[in-house]
Amino acid sequence: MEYIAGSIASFLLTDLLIRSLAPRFRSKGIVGRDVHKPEMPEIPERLGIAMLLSFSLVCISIYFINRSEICLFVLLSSLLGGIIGLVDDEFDLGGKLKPVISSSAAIPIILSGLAVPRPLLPLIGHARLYYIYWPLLFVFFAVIMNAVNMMDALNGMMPSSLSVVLIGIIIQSILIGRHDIAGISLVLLLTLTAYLRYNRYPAKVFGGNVGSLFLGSAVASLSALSNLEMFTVISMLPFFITGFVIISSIKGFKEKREMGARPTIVENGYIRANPDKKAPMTLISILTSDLPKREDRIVKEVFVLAVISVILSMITFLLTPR
Amino acid sequence: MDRGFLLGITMVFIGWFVILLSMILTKFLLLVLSTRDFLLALLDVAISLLIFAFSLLLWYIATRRIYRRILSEKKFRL
Repeated sequence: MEYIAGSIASFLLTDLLIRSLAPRFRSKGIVGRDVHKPEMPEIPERLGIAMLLSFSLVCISIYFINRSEICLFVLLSSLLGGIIGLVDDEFDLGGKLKPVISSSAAIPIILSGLAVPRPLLPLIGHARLYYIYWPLLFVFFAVIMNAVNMMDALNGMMPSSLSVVLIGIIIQSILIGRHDIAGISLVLLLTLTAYLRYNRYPAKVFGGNVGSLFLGSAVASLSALSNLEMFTVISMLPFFITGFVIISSIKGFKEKREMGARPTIVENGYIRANPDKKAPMTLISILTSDLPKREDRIVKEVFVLAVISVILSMITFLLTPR
Repeated sequence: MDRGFLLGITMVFIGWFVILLSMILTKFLLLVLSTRDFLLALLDVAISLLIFAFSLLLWYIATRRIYRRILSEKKFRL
């Protein structure tokens, strides 16, 4: 019950915070250019802080009600992710340092003693990875956080796709009897839904790295604590395609400005893949390789890919002995 | 449905298949190397990761070739 109440409270609080913070951020010059619009408007940035604050307040409240340690450690990990994102927004950590630093969001989960090194592997069941699990958890956090970060390229693309992933985590957590994980995921889902209302096409706010790294660490900690790591990976396949093809085609961890050419070209409100051989291949450039598309159409197609991935994750989950 | 979106869907399915394939091979190796020995367990994980990385590489090369072909056809048509 406290999770449902907390979810509604988090939705309302995020909405309220975005409404009050967005004009303030704009007046202080905390804005980013929406490069996929013909007029390139300035949009208030770093509104991920609103999600971070409301999720933190709700998690603390839930902790005082039911003393759920899981709630507290998910909060600590996601707070750490959010702080790393905020530092990145302010000082720019760079393409190589960011994955290394973001992996530190796994520390609260490892120190909590709540994580069990027995991940549920697709088709296999629970594995015993007593030695290898902990270093792999750092890699898992870095991969998830940076995949979410890379997905935040078009209006509403990351929050809409991540919402489907969270629905998958909620269903799978309920099926394995982890109602606490399902409850916290529900709080995160409604927090994200409130943000999506403002970030969807045409975006009125941007979340910034603070938003995407916070969400990435929250999702990573929820799946690690429920031992559903591999099923989250399957649900997040479009996220990994984005990250993997970018890293592979530019041959390493690089920031946007370090790339030879932009992956896409914007013409009259339509986005198309850049035919330049130096341009990296991204999920957006793949989707627009045959036809130039409007931003909202690409986001809808990525959403469909996310839905397919979650369905595949559910099928795999049902085929796995538990 | 255009070829770009179809390529996206194919990538998701192949990504899923690669994960399942790695898991099936891991299961097979677990049966073969049914042991609690740490080094053998480490070897098992290393082999699984290698298979996974190799499949990913093949997946990436195939996707890039198809992607480049679609783009070059477009350029030719223009």
